[in-house]
Amino acid sequence: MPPLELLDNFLQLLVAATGSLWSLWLFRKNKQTVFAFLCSGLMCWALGLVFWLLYAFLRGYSPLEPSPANFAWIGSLLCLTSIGQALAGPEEKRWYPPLAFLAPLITIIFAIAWFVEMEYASPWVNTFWCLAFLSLAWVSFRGFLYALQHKQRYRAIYHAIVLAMVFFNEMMLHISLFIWPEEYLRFNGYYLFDMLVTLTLGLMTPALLYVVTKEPQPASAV
Amino acid sequence: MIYAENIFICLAAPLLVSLPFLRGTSRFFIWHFTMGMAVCLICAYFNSFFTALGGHDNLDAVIIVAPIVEEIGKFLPLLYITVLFAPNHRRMMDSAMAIGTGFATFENVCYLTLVDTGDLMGMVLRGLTVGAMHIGRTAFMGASLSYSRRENWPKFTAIFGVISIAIVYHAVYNLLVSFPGPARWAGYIVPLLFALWLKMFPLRLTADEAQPA
Repeated sequence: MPPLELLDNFLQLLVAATGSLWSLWLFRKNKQTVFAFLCSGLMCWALGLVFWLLYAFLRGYSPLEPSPANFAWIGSLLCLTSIGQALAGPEEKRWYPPLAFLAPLITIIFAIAWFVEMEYASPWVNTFWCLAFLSLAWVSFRGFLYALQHKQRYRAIYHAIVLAMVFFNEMMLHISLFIWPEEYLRFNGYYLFDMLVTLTLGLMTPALLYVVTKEPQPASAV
Repeated sequence: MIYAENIFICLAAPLLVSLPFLRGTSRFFIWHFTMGMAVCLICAYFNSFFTALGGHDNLDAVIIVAPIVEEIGKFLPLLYITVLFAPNHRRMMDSAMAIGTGFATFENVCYLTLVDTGDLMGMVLRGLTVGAMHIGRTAFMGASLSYSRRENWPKFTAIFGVISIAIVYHAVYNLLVSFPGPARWAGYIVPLLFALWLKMFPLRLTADEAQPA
């Protein structure tokens, strides 16, 4: 594995693991279930990276798909979707603004590109990635629009961070797969977007903390 | 090749014979323990199938295929129990841990038929770590299913997120113990430390283990 890729992955692992432990501490302190979901999501992400890096180190090549790392990263997206669902009140859950369908539509377009261009990848992995991104994009964009409408600044910021993570992840995957597929030896768009994903993962815990502590919870939200 | 079905029959027969004579929690535990052993046997068949389907070598079968198949295999009876019987939290945890115990026990028995059992330290480590790992993972999934029946829990996404944690944790353990040296020792230590930490600092989602909504 090139040193730059190793550094990039280690940095992301460190940020995800730190965020996970911080969320766990916040959960034990505040007893808010959203922190348990965030801890699970970031832990899944970190464990997926641990598996990927260990496998590459011990076997000398990346694991074949579908691998447990794919399940871990998809699970992470599902845990983040759980946070969005848990933060939503009953009014938000019954709200279906047409604009909110834009985010999942964009993720479907990205997913179609995977199926068309990635002949060697597992179609099952592509399908589950698509569904996970789609559900997260829908829940987050609807939450973002609802928060803007009700002037809930911290919720809007949290959902914006999650949407940015989805977008940077899609861009990172597409650049690495289609545009510069072999160029891992020097800094390029793949590393840029992966580091932006790392940034969004690091910002999730403080953003969620502000949501929980500074903005009132809807009546039946967790 | 081992005759796992014969091993299962030999182990399960006395347990099943005892069932009509037991009552209460003893019968409950024996039944779920036997179910865990059956799940292990069935997962072995699926492991072989998916290994052949994916063209994996033996090492990849242990590291990649087995964690996915086994964690989903352990999850399915828990889902069945939750949907059909809607047990309370304590009962759910007892079911989950009994299934995990049966699974780990059958796996260890099959392992014994393949290796030299003269290495005492190896057997102790294998027994403790596999037990801690399987029981811990199954208990984790059982707890999640139990809490998922609460009113405000985002059921589908949370449950499948939890299964993903179980899969990758199992995969990291299998990966580490498959290579001799420091990696194997790290693999043995992690489940024990995790179980010890859970015992010392138990996680609860609410102050009391309330009934589902």
